[in-house]
Formats: sequence, C-alpha cells, structure tokens
Amino acid sequence: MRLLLTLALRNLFRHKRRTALTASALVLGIALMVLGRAWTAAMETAVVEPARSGTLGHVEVFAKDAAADEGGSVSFIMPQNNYRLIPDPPALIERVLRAEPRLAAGLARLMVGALLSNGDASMEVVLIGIDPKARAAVYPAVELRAGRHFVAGEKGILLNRGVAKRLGATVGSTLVALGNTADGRLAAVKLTVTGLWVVKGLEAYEWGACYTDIAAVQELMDVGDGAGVLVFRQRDLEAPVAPIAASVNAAFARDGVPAVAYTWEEMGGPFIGGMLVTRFIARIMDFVMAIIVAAGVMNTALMSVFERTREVGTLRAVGARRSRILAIFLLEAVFLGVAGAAGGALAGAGLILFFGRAGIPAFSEAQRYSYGGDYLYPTLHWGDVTVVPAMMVVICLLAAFGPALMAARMRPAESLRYV
Amino acid sequence: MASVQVEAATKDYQLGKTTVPALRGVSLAVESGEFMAVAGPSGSGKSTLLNLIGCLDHPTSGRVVIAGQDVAALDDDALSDLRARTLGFIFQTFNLIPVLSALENVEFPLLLRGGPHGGRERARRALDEVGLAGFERHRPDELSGGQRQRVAVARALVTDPVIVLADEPTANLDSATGESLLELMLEINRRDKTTFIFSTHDPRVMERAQRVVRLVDGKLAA
Repeated sequence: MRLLLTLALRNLFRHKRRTALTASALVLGIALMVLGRAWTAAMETAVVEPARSGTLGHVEVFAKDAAADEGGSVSFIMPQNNYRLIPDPPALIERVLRAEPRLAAGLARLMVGALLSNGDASMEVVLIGIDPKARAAVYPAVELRAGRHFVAGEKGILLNRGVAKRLGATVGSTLVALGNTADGRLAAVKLTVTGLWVVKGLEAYEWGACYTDIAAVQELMDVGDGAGVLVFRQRDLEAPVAPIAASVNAAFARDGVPAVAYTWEEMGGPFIGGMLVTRFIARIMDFVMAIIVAAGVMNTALMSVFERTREVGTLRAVGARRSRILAIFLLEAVFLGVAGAAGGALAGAGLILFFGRAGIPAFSEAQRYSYGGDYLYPTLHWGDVTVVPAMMVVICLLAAFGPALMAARMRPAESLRYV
Repeated sequence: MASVQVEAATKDYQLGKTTVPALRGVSLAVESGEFMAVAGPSGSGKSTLLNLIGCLDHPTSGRVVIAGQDVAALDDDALSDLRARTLGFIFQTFNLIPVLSALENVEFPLLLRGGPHGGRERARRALDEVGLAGFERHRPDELSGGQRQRVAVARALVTDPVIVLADEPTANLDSATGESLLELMLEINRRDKTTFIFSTHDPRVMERAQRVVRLVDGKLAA
C-alpha cells in the first residue's frame, strides 16, 4: 500500500501544470459551491426566519376541513375569515403543548380583510388578530418603530409604516375597522393605534397588514372566541419540524380532535416559494459545477491512462493485479480531489467570512426582497465547508473510475506494445 | 524437468478484417537452468512467443505450461501471481517506472508479492549485485542506458524467479555495456540455475547461449 500511495502521489506531479490546472478548477468550483450554499442559506434565513418568527410560526393548527368552503386546502395567502374556526382556542393550545413538549408556546390568530378608516382617509387592510399575551413568545420578531405593543382588553392595533402614512395615523389615533361578520352582516369596531410594527427582513412583505387584538377581530366577525389558526413556536429552532407536526396530528387522531397540524413549509406562502426557487436554482448550479469538475478530472485521468499505457503493461508484467492498477489511478483521483476539496473549502470559507463582514450588496429591488434588506450577510457553517468538498472527492473518484477501469482491463501484452 | 513447455501454440492478431498469424504451431520445451536464445528476424514472432511464455498473452490455440502449471486454467489474478512469483522480465526499452527511484523500482515486485518484511534490504542487495550500489536514490532519468538495464535486471531477479524472460535486452546498449550485462546474466544463470530465455538479434548473445532456437514466419526453423 505504501508504494501504491507513493506511486499515485508522484504520478500527480509528473505533469505539474496539468495537475495544477485541474486542482485549480476543483478549488474554484468547490469554493463557489461552498459560497453558494452559504448564500442561499443566508437568503433563507434573511426571509424565512423573520417569517417564522413574525407570521408563520413553526406549526400551524387548523380546524379539520377548515377550508372545505373555500375549495379544499388551507393556504397562507387565502383570507381566513371564511375558514371553519377553532372553538375555545386556549384549551386546544394547552392540549397541543401538553402532547408535544418540543413546542414552546402557542398563539390564537384570526385574520380578516377590513376597511380601516381614520377620519376621511380609508384603505383596505388585513387585520391579524392575535392573542397579545402570547405575542412575545410566538412572534418575537414583531418589533416596534414607535409606540408600544397593545395589551389584552384595550383593542389596540399596530400599523405598519405604509398604512400609518396612508391613513395619516399616529400612535394614539383612533381608527374604525369596517368589515363583514361571518354571516355576512356589516360590522365595525374601534381600534386605538398603540404602535408602528416592523419585522426586520420582512419589510418588503408588510403589505397592508396590521396586528391587532384577536378579541377585536372576533367582535368584528361576531364569532365568539373562535380562532382561524393556532400558531406554535418550537423550542429547538434547528430541529426538523415535520416530526413535530406528525406527532401533533397523531395526538389529534388518537384523541379524536377535529384539527390538523401543518408545518411552516407546508403552509407555503411567498416566503417558501422564493426559497424553493432559490434552492432549486442553487442545486442546478451545484449540479452543473459538479459536472464541469467531473469532466475535468475524467479528462485528466484519461490522459494519464493513455500516456502510461506501456507503464501499465510493465506493472502487470511484474505481477500487479488488475485491482492494483485500478487502485493506483483511483488514488491519484482521490489525492487530486482531496487537495482540491481542502483548497476549495478554505477558499470558500474565506469568501464566506469576507462577505459575512462586507455583505453581499443587493443590486435590485428584487434582490432586496430576497436579501431582506440592502445587504446579505452569509455565515460560516461547518456543514457547508465539509459536505460539498466531501461530495466532490466522491465525484472525483467516480469520474476517475471509468479511466481507471480501462487501465485495469488492458491486456498486458497489448499495453507493452503500445506506442 | 522442463520449466517451460509450449505445445502447438498459435497466435493470430486481428488487424481490422485481416487475421495476421504471428505464431504457427510452435512447440518448445525449455529445461530448468537453461540459457536459451530465441533468434529470428523482426516480425518472426519472437516477442509473441515470449509474451505467451510470460503469461502476458494467451495463445489462439495450443498449450503453454509454466513451472508445471497450464496457464489456460488460470484466471487473471492467478496469472498475475504466477508472474510475480515465477517469472522475471527484462525489456529492450528497460521499462522502469520513471517516478520511482532505482531502489523502489527493484523493490516494487517484492511489495506486490507481499510476504515477509525486508524487501528493501533485498532490493538493495539486488542492486549491489548488478553493480549499482550507491545509485539507490537515482531516478531512471538520472541513469545511463546500461545502468537502467541493470536496474531492470535487478528488478527481474529480486524475486528469485524460476524463469527470466529477456526481450532483446542488449539491443539498446553499446557493445561494451551489452557484453558486461550478458556476463552478469550468465553468471547468475551458472550460480543460481535460473532459466534465461532471450529473444535476440545479437550474435554475442547467440554465441553464449546453450541453445538457440530460430523462428521464421512464426515457425521454428529446423
């Protein structure tokens, strides 16, 4: 084995320029792939994390067949005032939290489209009725530009900056929300502006959304204590959410509770759509990069096999089995792959650290949406700088396998005659 | 006892749609410890015969028996092992591995065979025996043609093979170097009773050989 390793290593240095070129391509490809992963991860974090902490939560529980009257499945985008509601939300929240300790807190939410007026100024908004007592635990990303959060019983409302400007409202203004009750009657409720909200990173998605006390929305819709959805936040933010939702659904099925839990990913919405498109494009880029690198390695290996055909014959003549010939060429590919992977991982890590400080600037409005601001700051994760390089070593090995097998299958006499 | 037995061996090569016969029914027995030359003009089938004896190729028909083993019954790994244990090769163009030192080139067949340690010391002794003590660390491109062929001889002999096959070993050497190499191989043959089979054009080799068989157009000449 020692001599095979020596042979493979020295063979790599026979054509220093060619080896350097292939290794450089590997380093560049791997570095870009590593940076690409950090970049997409940062975009996901920039948009999805605020979304999970300000609107989606991690697990959402709807009444069974909640959207039956709306044509089927529940949707983040669909207004939820016509969904079948969950009665006595506090009891179900308590039941879910008891059944699934991986969930930290739950919040009852009821959304409705309404006409919000301040004197003569009016605009259509979406009122997001939430339980003020659970807001901090489930929606920690809802921050204030001005004023304070509303408390239970005061029918307070948080406006976003755009709505406040359109309505000419400030903290302390009294607004009137006009909407429909669940059975179609017109109804109105008075709301006091207690603050202006912001979810950092989600400014582009604020639309006309206003957080208000769920009690106000329930009064407007005349639905008693019903909630459209229960939003839960998990304790370990890095843990996969699917098993948690599955466990909640199992508990519902066991106890005969007419409700269904969805993960934040299932709930989709514009955040997830963008994320999935970005992920898809990133994977395609990875695939293309891997193909280019594999082609380079295969080409190098093929050239090496053709150049050393007589040498393969000599090795076979002195007693080397086919497996040894295979091993020599594969080891060369592994050495090349490991060198490229190490260099690529280091270069990729360097790029991530650099852009982590300097930021990747957004050059368009669309990019600002994806970045959740003017700059994106990728962060270095151990997984990014190990998984891609390790994968590329395997790809190098696979790319060299064909040429190595070709060398191993050469007939000794023919190899020795090769000119 | 015959260390090599070739029975009615033929070898055809396919060049496109044309079949070219390289050997046409050659039968030959080589006794253990013989110093034998296979002579003949270019294209007469000398190298093909050596390839068959060296288990580097299979006959189209006929039988080749090496050290009592019918090579047709052996799979590729077994043939490799037979080459590693029983045969040594010396090539006209030396065929050393350029990235290995002289010592590593000689040690290589020992490492392929595995077995007890001490391969490096044996390789060193083999180099010493061919007069290359002090050249252990030299790469092939740092050695003269004669020195390279000596390294090849050391590589062929380091495993104590039963048979050494030498394909025109002196063809690329000047006369003095060729002569000394021949002397070296004769001495090893006399001392260790190693069987040597040469293919050659070189009259000096033919003069020193115990037996010369001549190949003409793939057949043994009478």
